[in-house]
Amino acid sequence: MIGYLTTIAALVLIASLVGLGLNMQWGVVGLVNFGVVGFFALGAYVTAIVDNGGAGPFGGLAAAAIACAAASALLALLSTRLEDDYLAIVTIGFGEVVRLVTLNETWLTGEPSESPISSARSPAGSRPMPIRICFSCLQPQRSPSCF
Amino acid sequence: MRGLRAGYGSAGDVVAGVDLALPPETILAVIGPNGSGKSTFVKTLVGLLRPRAGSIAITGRDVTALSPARRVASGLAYVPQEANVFRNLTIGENLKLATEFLRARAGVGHAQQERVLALFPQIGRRLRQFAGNLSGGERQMLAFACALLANPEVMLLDEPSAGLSPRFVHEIMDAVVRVRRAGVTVLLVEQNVPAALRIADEVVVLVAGRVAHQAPAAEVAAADLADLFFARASAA
Amino acid sequence: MNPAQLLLNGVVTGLLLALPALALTLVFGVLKFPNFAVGAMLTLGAYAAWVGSVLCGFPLIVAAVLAVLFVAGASVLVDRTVYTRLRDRGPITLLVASIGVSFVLENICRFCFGNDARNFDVAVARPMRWHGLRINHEQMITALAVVVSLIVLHVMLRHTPLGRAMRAVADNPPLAAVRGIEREFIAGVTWAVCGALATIAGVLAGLDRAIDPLIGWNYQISIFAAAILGGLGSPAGAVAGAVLIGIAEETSALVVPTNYRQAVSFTVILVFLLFRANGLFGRKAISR
Repeated sequence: MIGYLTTIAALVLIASLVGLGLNMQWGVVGLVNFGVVGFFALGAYVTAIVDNGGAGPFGGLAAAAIACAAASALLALLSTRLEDDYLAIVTIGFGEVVRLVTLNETWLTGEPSESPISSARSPAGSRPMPIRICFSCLQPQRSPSCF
Repeated sequence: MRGLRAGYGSAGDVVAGVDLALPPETILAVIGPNGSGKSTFVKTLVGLLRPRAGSIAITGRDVTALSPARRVASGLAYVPQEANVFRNLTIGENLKLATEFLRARAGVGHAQQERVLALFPQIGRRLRQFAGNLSGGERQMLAFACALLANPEVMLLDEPSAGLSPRFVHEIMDAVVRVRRAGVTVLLVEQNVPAALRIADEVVVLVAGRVAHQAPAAEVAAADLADLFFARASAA
Repeated sequence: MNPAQLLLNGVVTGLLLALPALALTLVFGVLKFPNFAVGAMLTLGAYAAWVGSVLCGFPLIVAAVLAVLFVAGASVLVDRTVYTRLRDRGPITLLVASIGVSFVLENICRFCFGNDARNFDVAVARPMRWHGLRINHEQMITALAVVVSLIVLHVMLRHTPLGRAMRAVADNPPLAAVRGIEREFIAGVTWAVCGALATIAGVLAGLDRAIDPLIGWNYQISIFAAAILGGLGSPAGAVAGAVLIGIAEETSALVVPTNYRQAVSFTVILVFLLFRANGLFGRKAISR
């Protein structure tokens, strides 16, 4: 029962984090971003890949931060040049491209059904994992595209 | 119109209570200082802005609830100050559109077309040209012609002389007089007071969204405009 | 592969894309927002035609016509329930609403028909050979259907009062109102046309590949790329853009794995929005 509730709580927290990030970026600053899921996926996969590669969970987080920052910098270049509805289209496209890459480059990301995070070794129980995922989602908010 | 109030969004009233009756077949000039609500007033009359209070009626028919398209079908015509032609359509298409959706209106047809094109011969000659390529004065003529094609009972003109050379101003005002002679009632909002006073029958001075003064044109021409524009509202 | 064959395949794919790209650009021009649900309308059209043709047994042409009427009606219904009250709220709000519509339409199809792939009952025919090129029947039907649709649409837009009214509302909505054109009526007509075009494309897509709830989504990026390339708001541009995107996607198979066709289209979108935002024929300048 506790495990179930913890999982639900973890999922709620993750979703809240992503929502908060989007709220700051779009609601407060006004930068349209429909590709948030792309960053979410990017952060999650980079964390898992680097973690599986042996750098440990925090190495994975650091790598995820860098990867998301780089991707955000690219999108930041676009957001200064594009008006709202066009930026929306481009960010949607970005999300799609991330999805395509993660789906097709199975040598990097594993089969679609097998989630890399769950196969990552976790120190104790399921609690540290959601924390890792939470941190990796925090990365998009530190990106240059927010400023 | 009775008790008309209108404004934008959550801002205050731009038109703050206007009671006005237009006598038929006259030219009523509406003048006033900048920001007095003249354009807003006209937009409310035509239906592009919903009034917050009050009512509008044309020859007895209440039109307050009607959309702009229905008001136009009821005999109202409007020539906006800017963006008054379809720039990406040709002159011919602009003219066609002026009546295509008003078939039910009496008097719309070939005869009216002939009359209007006789009034503005330059337009009839260049039907294939894009309206966006016309000069300001020519666009004004086209807009005027399109409004006339609908055989209106009442015409609303929002600063028709704005940005025009004196020659065009003269032509437009001339056209307004001929339109009035043909039986149309004209409400003319104007910044160019002398030009307006030359052709108007009645004048209304709008200050801060209210009717500050209403009198025949001759009286207003003799009075000091500064007094009218900036004095407090006086009993008309 | 023979480059001429690739070109041919590209042109035919592009022609298929032309219809939903046109639908997208018309809605953008008249109603001022990017319609995210265009792929879902294509899906709906494909399923509607499938129901008519396979479940009800009508000949495919009849089923297609019925599907067009059905989806046109459904599009107008969606407009009356969803978009009417959001009419003046700005493109982002309308875009988000259309994303919602897209989900709903796609999942209605999923709910009714499941995720399994369906097919039209069309007899398999041997492709024609012409000067060393292989042309199959689906390609010929696609080309014919699209060209006829484009001609009909062109005549409608250029030479009928309704088409003029649509172009007028696209040019200047308040002025159109003052000339007697009811904006809501024109909005309804625009949606009906959009639905009709998406349905025809759905039927043609269903001839080419299996019908599943994602059939429209698979074209979505390409549709947007085509419309943006041609200039959002320009019908001629949408067609030209679609053909170019079709050719680009087919020829990219030489360089890039076919899974990444959408990435190719996305790159086209990016490049154009960065450097030539009005596309090839668009008139609106859009960068800030």
